[in-house]
This record gives sequence, C-alpha cells and structure tokens, in this order.
Amino acid sequence: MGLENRLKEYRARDNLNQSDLGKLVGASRQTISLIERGDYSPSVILALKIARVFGTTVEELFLFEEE
Amino acid sequence: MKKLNPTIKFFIVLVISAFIGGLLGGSITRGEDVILQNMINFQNYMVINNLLIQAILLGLCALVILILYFSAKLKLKRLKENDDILFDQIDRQLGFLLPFITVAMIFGFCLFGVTVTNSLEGGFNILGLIIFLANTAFTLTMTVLTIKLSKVLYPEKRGNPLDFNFDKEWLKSCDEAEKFVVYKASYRCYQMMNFVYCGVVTFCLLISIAINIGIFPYLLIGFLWITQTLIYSITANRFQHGPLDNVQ
Repeated sequence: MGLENRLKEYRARDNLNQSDLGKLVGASRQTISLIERGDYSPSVILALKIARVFGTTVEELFLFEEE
Repeated sequence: MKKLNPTIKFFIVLVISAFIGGLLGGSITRGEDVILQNMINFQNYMVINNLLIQAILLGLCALVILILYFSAKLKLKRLKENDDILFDQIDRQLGFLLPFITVAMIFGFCLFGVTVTNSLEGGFNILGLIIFLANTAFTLTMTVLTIKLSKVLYPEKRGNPLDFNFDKEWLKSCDEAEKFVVYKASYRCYQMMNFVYCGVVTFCLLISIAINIGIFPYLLIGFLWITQTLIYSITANRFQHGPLDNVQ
C-alpha cells in the first residue's frame, strides 16, 4: 500500500515553505518533510488541517494506491 | 532458499544456545583459576585507579559535551530561515548531545559506586565525592542548557528539565510524528532490554561457576526485568481499554 501526496506542489502554489506550513497546522518542519517524502502517513486530523490550509480536500492532496 | 518454520528455527536456536552454554560452562570450570585471577586483577585495577579513571573519563566526557554544545550554539546563531541542511545538522547534533550528557551522568554514578565500595576497605576518599558532585552539577546544567538550545530550534516545545513533570510536558508539546518516533524508540528499547536482561543473567550464571557473586545480581536483574515487564503490560492494557488521547 502506498500513500502519495501533492504537498510540495500545493506549497509551491501558495508560496509556503515547510516551516510556514508546519506553523499553520501545528506540526514541526520535520513532520511536514516526512509527510512530503512519504515516510510518514499523517493522522486524519492532520491531513484535514493541511487540506484546509490549501482550501482543498484530503483526497486531492493524498493519493492512496492499493498494491 | 526456503524459509525455516519459526517453531523449528526456535528449537534449533535453543539447542545451539544450550550447546554453547554447556561449552562455555565447561571452559569456565576448567579455566576457573584464570578467570578468578583476571576478575580480581580487574577489580584491583578499578579500586587503585578509581579516582584517576573517574577524573579522566568524566573529564573527557565533559570536553566532548562542551565542544558539541558550543558548536551547536554557534551553528544556531548562523541559522537562516530556509537553511534546511544546517537545521538538520543542528538537530542531529542536539539529538546526540542529550543522550551523551545522560551517559556521562550514569558513568558518574557508577564510578561513585566504586568509590563508595572502596571506602569500605580503605576509608572514604573525599575527592571521589567532589568529582561525583561536580559531574552531576555539570551534567544537570548542560542538560538544562541543551534543552534551552532545542527550544530555540523548536519554539513550540514546552517544559522545564528541572521540573518533575518535564517528560510529560515535553511529550505534550510534540506533534504526532515526533510522538510516533518516541513510541517506536521506546518499544525498541523495551524489546532490546529483554535480550539484555537475558544476556546479563546468562553472564552472571556463567561467572557464578568460577566466582561466588552472591544473590544480589540475580535479585537486582529480576527486580528490573519484572518491573519493566509489568509497567509495559499494565500501561498497554490501560491504553487498550481506555482513551488513547491522540487528538492534537
């Protein structure tokens, strides 16, 4: 099972760096970096918070593929 | 290559371990005098040079701690907002420094234990106590300063290291991924410690063939092992049947 995401793309669109996004959602820069690299799957709450910052849905940001 | 059935693998490991144990036990019985002499030599060396070992080892630790601390502090001054590489460097350095300070403190306690044991034979050496107190004060101060430095890197972190609730406060201020790291590391520690206890008991059993080490090593290890197992099981059981409190 793989969880891919479009976080980097959305950050670039809104001109936000990892620290800024972290502050907005109450997470550290490292956590945002881990999520972006696909090394950590965020909780539902964090995923919703991130989606809310970018004005989109969780499904738009995170792509879940069953292998 | 075909994988072995876990049960068969378990019994093979058991037989090999028993064979090695028997072999070691037999060798110890044959070389009883040599082992006994080496143990006595080691103990005498520790007793005679305890103060020197204490001063050199703790002095070296203090030097490494100071170098790492001031280097991290300098790097932190140079850190600019988008310098991710330097940020990671400082983070790694602080991640090494904190456990190193704790290890230095533990060394201090162990070596002071040797000083106290020596005092039973040749009178108490005040210098040993001074080195121990100096090391404890130094490591405590460096812990506080390093945590202050971490708070500059992570302003959202909370807790005063001199407060008894520090660990709770610190964990509370961690985000979900940081907590996940703490939980994974804690479970790994629990798993490894089970092997360590088993290894130490085996070592004590083997040494007991040659030297009378008394009952306290077994009682102490047993107490620590049971305490760890019970704390883990009770906490896990509590969380399985109660709120996990993982909403950030």
